[in-house]
Amino acid sequence: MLKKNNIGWICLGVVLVCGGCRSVPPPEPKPAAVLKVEQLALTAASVSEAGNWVAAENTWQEVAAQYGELDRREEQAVALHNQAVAAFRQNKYEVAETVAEQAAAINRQGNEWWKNQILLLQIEGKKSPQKAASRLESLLVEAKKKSLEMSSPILWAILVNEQGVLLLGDGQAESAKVMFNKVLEKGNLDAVWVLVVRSNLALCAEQSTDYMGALQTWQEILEKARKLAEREIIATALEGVGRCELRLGNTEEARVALQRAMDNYGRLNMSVEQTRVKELLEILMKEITK
Amino acid sequence: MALNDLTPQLRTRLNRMEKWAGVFVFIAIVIVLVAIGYYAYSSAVRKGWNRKKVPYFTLVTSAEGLKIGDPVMLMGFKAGTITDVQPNAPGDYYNVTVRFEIWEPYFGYLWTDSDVRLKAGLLGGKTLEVTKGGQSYTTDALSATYQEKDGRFYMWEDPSKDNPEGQWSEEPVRSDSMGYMLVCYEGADVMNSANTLVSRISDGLPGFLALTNQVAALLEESTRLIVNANGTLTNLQPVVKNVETISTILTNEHGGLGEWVIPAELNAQVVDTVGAVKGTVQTSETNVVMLSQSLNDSLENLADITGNLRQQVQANSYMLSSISTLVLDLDDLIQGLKRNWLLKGSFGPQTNMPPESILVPSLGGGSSNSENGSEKEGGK
Repeated sequence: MLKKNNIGWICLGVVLVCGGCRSVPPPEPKPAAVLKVEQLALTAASVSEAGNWVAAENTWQEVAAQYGELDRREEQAVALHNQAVAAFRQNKYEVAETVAEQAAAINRQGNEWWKNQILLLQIEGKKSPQKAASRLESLLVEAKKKSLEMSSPILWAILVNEQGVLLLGDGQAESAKVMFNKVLEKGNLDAVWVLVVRSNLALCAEQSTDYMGALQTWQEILEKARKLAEREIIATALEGVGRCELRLGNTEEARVALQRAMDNYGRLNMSVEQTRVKELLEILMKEITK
Repeated sequence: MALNDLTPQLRTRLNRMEKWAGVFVFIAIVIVLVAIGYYAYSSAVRKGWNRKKVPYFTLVTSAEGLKIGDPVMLMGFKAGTITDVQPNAPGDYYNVTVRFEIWEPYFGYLWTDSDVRLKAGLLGGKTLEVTKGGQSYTTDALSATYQEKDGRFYMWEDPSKDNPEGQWSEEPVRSDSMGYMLVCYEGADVMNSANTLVSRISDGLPGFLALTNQVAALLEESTRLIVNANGTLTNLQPVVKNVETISTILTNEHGGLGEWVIPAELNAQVVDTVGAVKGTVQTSETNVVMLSQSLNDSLENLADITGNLRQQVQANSYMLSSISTLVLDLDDLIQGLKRNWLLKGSFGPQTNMPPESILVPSLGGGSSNSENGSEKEGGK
């Protein structure tokens, strides 16, 4: 039997549900072409997240073309940016730079422009460090001018990280360490990004020949990366551990760590990194056989 | 209280009332008499009291369902009534004599070729029906059964040895006369026929049931035999192989191992056994073929069922239209629920979100040139 209270609640629920039906207007239907390209963009994002950069580059290229046909410039710029990222991850720097510049030509301002500029900075950092330094200088001026640290702390943190990477590549480990610490001071960073910045700090320690400190940092990174199941960072940390063990003369530990790093890079289809570790292992084996 | 004790006014009033009471009683009596007269008239009409009537009789096998006063029908009209039903003498051919009278003008329809039909009703009653005569053209001696002269009725006397051509009776018909005899044709008794049919069915049903039981038992036995045959066939496989091997040895020419080892009598027994085994195997093969045929029939029936279903779905476009409408209505319902401010949170975000730019921080250092991390900016 229904009690009076229950009937009251039921009536209230009916009123809310029926009233709610009229409270929100129906969404405007999207054209079929837009739905199609959005679906394709979802596919491209999925393959990018899975690390299938070859498929991601092709798919983002198709997405950019379709958005161009629909004259949706902002979405086209995003697709071009992601296509550039995919090419960059395949070490196709020329293609990545060209496509990233196309995206930057569309985005004249705003966060998307900053993303394009930081991507170009990363590409130039691999391709031409001097050109990257020039771009970094202008970007830092622009960031200060636009108060990027306040308006978009995430983008500012990445920009500072890139500054530290360039400094590290230039052999200025202490200056780079300052930059990386500034990044870590930003408390709202993603956990994975924190591990990346800490990896840069470990590299700074290695460059400063503080192998014990670097080894400890790499081991901490390895432990946290395992918890986060970040395979690329696990492989990078194993490489760092092996490198530090090698510098410390612990050849057996170094061999084990480097062997595991090489295996992980192989599973991730990161051939450049795999070759680099393989060269390290060859050096190590020569030392062992002496 | 005497009337003289009343006042003159009251006395006058009472006299007037008595007069009206007398009128009322008179009118009531008249009404009753009229009603009684009408009833008597309608009864007389119904029973033919005021009509001229002539007697007839017929002979029937049984008096069952016949009563005095029952109507006699002619061409759908009530033409008279049964006046008497009496059994005949034990030695007579017919069992019962039924007398009835026919009113005017219906006796004019009855000629010498008229007859009586005894029709049985479903509830057990019987109806006497006379037929219109004079149109059979079967004899030259057709005549009316009665003729009226001077208010008296004379009956037609059929031809006989003494009177080969037939004639009208010399004396008028008396009230106690048997009247003219009409031949009675007794129709089939529906109830009796039905009872007979039911009794025959009842008699035959146990046999039929027994027959079905026998068929069921036969089928059961056949199934058991087939199952046994299958088991036998399975068990016979190694035996057959052995027999084949043995027979290969035994079918050697004279002087083979079989003839040397096995005596002639045993050899004959082996041949008989092999023949028996061969027959059993053939029977088993037949059973297996029958079984496979039954299985094939079952599969064909299944195919027919699915085929019919497909044809129904294809033929009934209304069904497909209804399904389509149902899907559309369901979609409308879901879309409506998605718009509800209270329920839209249950459906999750839009799937086709605009794409986001991927940006990852670099991992630097002279010894490592790789990019690590795979998070999208703003993605977390």
